[in-house]
Formats: sequence, structure tokens, C-alpha cells
Amino acid sequence: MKRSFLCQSRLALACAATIGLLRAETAFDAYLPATTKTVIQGGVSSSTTPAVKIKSGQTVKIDTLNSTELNKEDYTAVLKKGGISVDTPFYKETLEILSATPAAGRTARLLTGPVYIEEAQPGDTLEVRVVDLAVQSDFGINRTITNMGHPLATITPEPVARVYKIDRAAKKVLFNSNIEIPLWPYLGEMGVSPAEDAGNYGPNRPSKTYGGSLDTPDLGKGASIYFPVQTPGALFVAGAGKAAGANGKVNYFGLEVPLTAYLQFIVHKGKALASVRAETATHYITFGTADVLDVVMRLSAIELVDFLKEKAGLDFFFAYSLGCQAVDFNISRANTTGQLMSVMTPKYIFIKDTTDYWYKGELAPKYYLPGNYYDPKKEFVSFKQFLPEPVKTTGL
Amino acid sequence: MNTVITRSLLSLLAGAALAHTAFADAEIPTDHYLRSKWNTVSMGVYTTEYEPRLKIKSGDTIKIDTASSSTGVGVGGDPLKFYKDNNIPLDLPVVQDSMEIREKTKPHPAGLRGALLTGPLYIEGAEPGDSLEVRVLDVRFRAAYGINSTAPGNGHPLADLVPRPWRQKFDLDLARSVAIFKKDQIELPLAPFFGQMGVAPPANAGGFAASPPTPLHGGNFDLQELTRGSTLFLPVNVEGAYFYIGNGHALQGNGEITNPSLEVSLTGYFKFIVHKKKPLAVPHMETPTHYVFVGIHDSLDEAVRLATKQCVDFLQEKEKLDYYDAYALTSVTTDFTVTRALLPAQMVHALVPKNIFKAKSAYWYAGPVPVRY
Repeated sequence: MKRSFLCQSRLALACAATIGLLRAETAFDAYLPATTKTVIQGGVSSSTTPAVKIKSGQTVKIDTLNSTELNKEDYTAVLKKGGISVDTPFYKETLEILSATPAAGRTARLLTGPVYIEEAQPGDTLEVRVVDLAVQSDFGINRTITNMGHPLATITPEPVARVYKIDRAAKKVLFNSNIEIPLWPYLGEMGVSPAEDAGNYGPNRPSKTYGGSLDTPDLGKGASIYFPVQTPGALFVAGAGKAAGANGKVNYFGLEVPLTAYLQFIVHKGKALASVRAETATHYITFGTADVLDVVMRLSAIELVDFLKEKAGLDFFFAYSLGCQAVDFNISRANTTGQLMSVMTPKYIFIKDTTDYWYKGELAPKYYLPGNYYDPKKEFVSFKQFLPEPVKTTGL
Repeated sequence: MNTVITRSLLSLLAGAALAHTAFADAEIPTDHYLRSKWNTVSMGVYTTEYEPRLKIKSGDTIKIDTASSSTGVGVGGDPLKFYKDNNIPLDLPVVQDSMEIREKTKPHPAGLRGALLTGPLYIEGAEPGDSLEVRVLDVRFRAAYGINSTAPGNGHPLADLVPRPWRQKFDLDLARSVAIFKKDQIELPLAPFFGQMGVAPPANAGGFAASPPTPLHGGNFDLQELTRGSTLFLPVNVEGAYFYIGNGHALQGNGEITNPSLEVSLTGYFKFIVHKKKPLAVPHMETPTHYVFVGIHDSLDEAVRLATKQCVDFLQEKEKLDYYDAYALTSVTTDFTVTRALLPAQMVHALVPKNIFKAKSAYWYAGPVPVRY
């Protein structure tokens, strides 16, 4: 059933594209542009002044800026070297914000917000639906740095930042003349404010309780992220948009771009949540985070077992066993300053679960790879033609 | 023939969906057939100490039976009781193979042990410094059940939280290609693959137990990508390569957290190709959709580092990129996932997608592949 849904949605998408429906802007209730008043560096706390106040159920259009963690001087140099005018929309705003920070030293991620959701109180769950994402520039920036504990940090000779072109109409990153990467934008950073007495937000780290640097490509268009609300209003921030990226994000950056996000906020009253979780049209996602990957693995396994026990009414052994047989442990952030695994439980295994999911549109490009979805009929037909030339049987 | 009996039994068990089983039954013609008899298996050791069970040439195709230790040979106590308790018919060829192996096959004299393997297979012309390409033409089930288990202290992520050893049989519905995890509620699509494929280590290294994988001999990859349509490239360490295979899995999530996967007995169809003078430092894989690189280390952090370095080296060479472009491309396109979170020798694999390259390179298989997500 889910498989035919994939086919149908692709068909629907093709039709929609032909008649130009995709060009119409997604509807929203409030607009949060990126200005010196709405962009904060690094993180949010319970005392941060809200940039916008909305009600549960409303959708906010949020502009986010290119979050390269460069200071103004280096940032300008990178743009200049890449042949990009600093007057380009969204980059102009970025420069204004960077002007307000010290010229030397590394900067933190640029986050837009916070969004104050009126109904949200500690003990509730905030669902953030990624209704749509729009890439706002024809190029993206990737950096390879020499610190922050990414896998090859110690053998990287010097920090380098490069600009790569994007063809937004063709939905591709033009990496070079031989390589094109399908566009799949997502927000690297989505988080809520920690409680007043719970220490600081990030910066540039994921957290079990407030989210933050989740950096998971599966959290693109069509994902729902569930945050435990810790302060009145929740105080949600977003940023670090990527035009494309992968689990691992091994050189510490994806293809960083300014994104406009259309996010719907829904407060689930009285539904307490111990840690951030997410959901897509195809998967339930749980997370694990720590600085050492072996610890992340263990925490992720514990969280998954808890989830499967609750979701499917299984005991410890069966939950652990299901985790072994059906669940992928993806390494979404591989750097020792906050490593993160996204743990993917496929939905199609729960054959009696008829819960409807709000999103039925386009899936990440990797799901479109030929044969990369389950089709029992295809399983058993036509493979013979792919075998090598017929040969005689001699046997042992 | 063994297969015929097995297949008809399976059809009965599955309640037969005619259109499907008709295709599934079709035998694939191969040059050779290596069975899993008491004198064609190794009790869990990669070594040159055993006589080659069969000699084949580069380019030959072969059908190989394997018997899973976890579903028969390796179970503790009385195997007959195990089969009876789990409703497993004793006349299945793989059960008969297993009982005979248990009775007659000698363990390794030095006490090395691991998963039951079929082999060694001798590939003529393979010499140290060559690499061995193994194409997985097809993977089929020999019995319609699998075993998953876990035990305290077994090097898996929750080894200290497991209160007691646990073992569970799961039925497979081969006609519908699913494992029945919980009747009428949870079904898992089958995506069978061999957990272990490897070669003998260098002569001076002795035998390697079929337990942790190593870059030298391959072995216990537990890599779900190695299903029908995939290709494995192994280093050759000794003349003839001495290839071993076993440890069938019906399906698996990346991570394999309980330690064993859904263990099953499988039959595989392969083509072997020797690439002369192409030494390999680490095995790597290819699928219709991805280039796959692995990192093997006791620490997952180090495993990621090793896999990352291989991706960057590969992209630098394949696309003539400098280090920074290759690293950026890895970061933006390549998914890293935990293959086996099991000590010793944890493994991570990285999936470089093929669809990013405008020039499409030829690949031998273009058929359907089992689900990944």
C-alpha cells in the first residue's frame, strides 16, 4: 500500500509540475524576515525576546541566512573569490548581522527567531511541520576546517571555503562539469529554548532535550519534528539551511545556503516528551547524541528500544530484536563536538497501522533511486535477464 | 536435486502464490555447484589448512549452499530438541546437512571458531597482489525460518542491559517475501544477504576465526548492501584465494544491534573474476546505486575516520578532484551508517551515490534490488 503511494505521489508531482502548481507560494499566517532584530547567533534562552508570536496551528514563513560560521572579513573574501556580489539578497542581510559581531574569531550559526507559540507550556510537546523549503541563492558554500573534530580534521592542511553553483530550476547543485547533486534542502538547526535553569543552548551542538544542530537530511520537506517544550511559548529558532547534505556531514558542513522555511507549529497539550523525536512519510526517527560515537550508539539503542516498546507494545527482547532486524542507525553528525545518530524505523513494517500522515508529497531524491523501494512483485520477476550469458551445469 | 525438494517444501509452507513461486523456482544455470556437506564446510575459520573443496576459473559462475550455525549446527544442547521445539521439519536438506556436519565435521585444531562457512573455494590463477571480484547473482532461502537471539556481554550496545540469553524463531513467508515478526501486525520485507564472505589470510598469519571482519581477509561484514546485484572486491592473500562464505541473514537494519541478525540458511549464485595485479588494502563494494566503502575498528569514531578517508581517496582518483573538493563532495552526498555495532571490530559503511555522476559507468546488474528504507 505504501509502495503504491510512492508511485502515485510521483505521478501527482509530475502533473503538478506540468501545470505549474509548484510555483505558487505556500500559504502562511505570519512572516519572519531575517533582520538584525530577528537573527541571533548561537542560541536562544528563556529570556530572549520573541521575534514573532503565533497560535498553535499557524504557519510561519521564516527566512534563514547562510550559516557558514565565518566572520565578516572571511565571509566577504569567500564571496569575492567565488565571484558573488555582496549585494545579493540574503547575503546583504548576512553581512549586516556579521558587522554587529567582533571582526576576529569564529562566529556561531545564524538562527532566525525565536517564534513564541502562545499555547506552549512546559510539559507540552511542540510539533513543527516542515511544510515547504525554498533555496534562496544560486550558489552554496562548503567549508573544510581544521578543527571541530571532524573525521579528517587532523590531516586537513588548511581551512578552505568554496562556492558551488546551484541551478534552482533544475533542482541541482552544479558541483562541476561532471557532477550534479540533486537538491534536497533541509534546516541543519531547529531547536527550542532550554528551561531557565537548564544551562545554555548550544551553540552548534545537538541536544536530546532542545534539538538544535540536528543536521539530518531526512528532516527536509514533509518531516514533523517533536520537541519537549521547556519554557512558556517554546521559543523556537531555525537556521543553518543546506541545499544538499548527507548523513555524516563529515567535513562539518553541508552545502550551506539561505533557506526560506514554511513551518507549521502545533502544540500537543499535556503530552510530555523526554527527548526530541521526528517522523516522515516513511519513517519514525529517534536520536542519540554525545561526543563519542560508541556512546551515541548506546544511547540511540536505548532510545530506540523505549520507542519500539511504546509504539508496538513489545517487551525488551522483541523491541531490541526488531531494532536489529529492521532499523538503520545513521550517523548524521560525525564530529566530536556533538555527534548525532538518526535512527530510522520504517513505517511500512507496521502493517495494521492505518494512521494518516499529513504529508503526501515529494520524498528525498535517494528514495527515487531505481528499485530502491520495496515491491514484492518486482522482487520475483525479470531478474533472469540480468544474469550473465547462460552456461552449462557441471556440478560437484 | 536438493533445491527441488526444498523449493517444493517451501511452496507448501508458503501456501504458494503461483506466479511468484514459478519465477522463484526457476533454477539459474551455473558452471559449478558447491554444497554444504560435512566435508565441504569449515567450522568457522578462514585458512589454507583445509583442502580446496572445488577449483574454479576466473569468470566461472557457481551455486553455493550454506548452512547457518545459529539455525542448527551451532545451537547448544540437543539439536533434535531444538528442531522439534521450533517446529522445523527434519527432512529439509539444510537440516540434514546440519545434523551430519554436527556429527562428523571436526573443529579447528587450534580451537578457532566462528560461524559455519562453506569452502574453501579455490580460484585458479588468483595470486597474492590480485583482487577477487565476487558478483552476487542471486540469493535464495533454503528454509522458511530465521533465528534472532541476544545474550548478556556479547559486545553489542546493550550487552549489559540484557538480563538473560534470548532466542526466537521467526517464520518467513517466502511467497510474499516477508518475515513475520509479529503475526498480523509487524512484517519485515526480506532482503537476504551473506553476512560473511572472505578469503584466507596470508600464509604466515595462520587461520582467522570467522568472527571479527578485518581489512585483510574481509569476512564478517554483516553488510546488508551485499544482496542480489552487489559486487564485493576482496584482496587475494594466497594462491587460489581460498574463498569462504556463510552466515546468511534474511534481512537486517544497519547496526545489527542484538549481535546476530535474522540468521537463515541461504543458497547463493555467484560469478568470480580475478583482477590481476590489483592489490587492495581494504575490501570495498559496489551496488547498482552506490559505491560502498567500509571502516573497521573497535572504535566507531575511528571506523568513521577510516571510511571517510577511503571515500575522499576514491573521489580524488575517480573524478580527479583535489582533497578539498573530494572532501566537500563526500560531506554533501555520502551517507554514513553503522553496519555492525559489535565488539570486537565494529564497522561503518559509507554510501557514495552513483546518480551524482553525469557520465554513467557500466554495471553488470540493472535489476530490482531489495528495499533499503
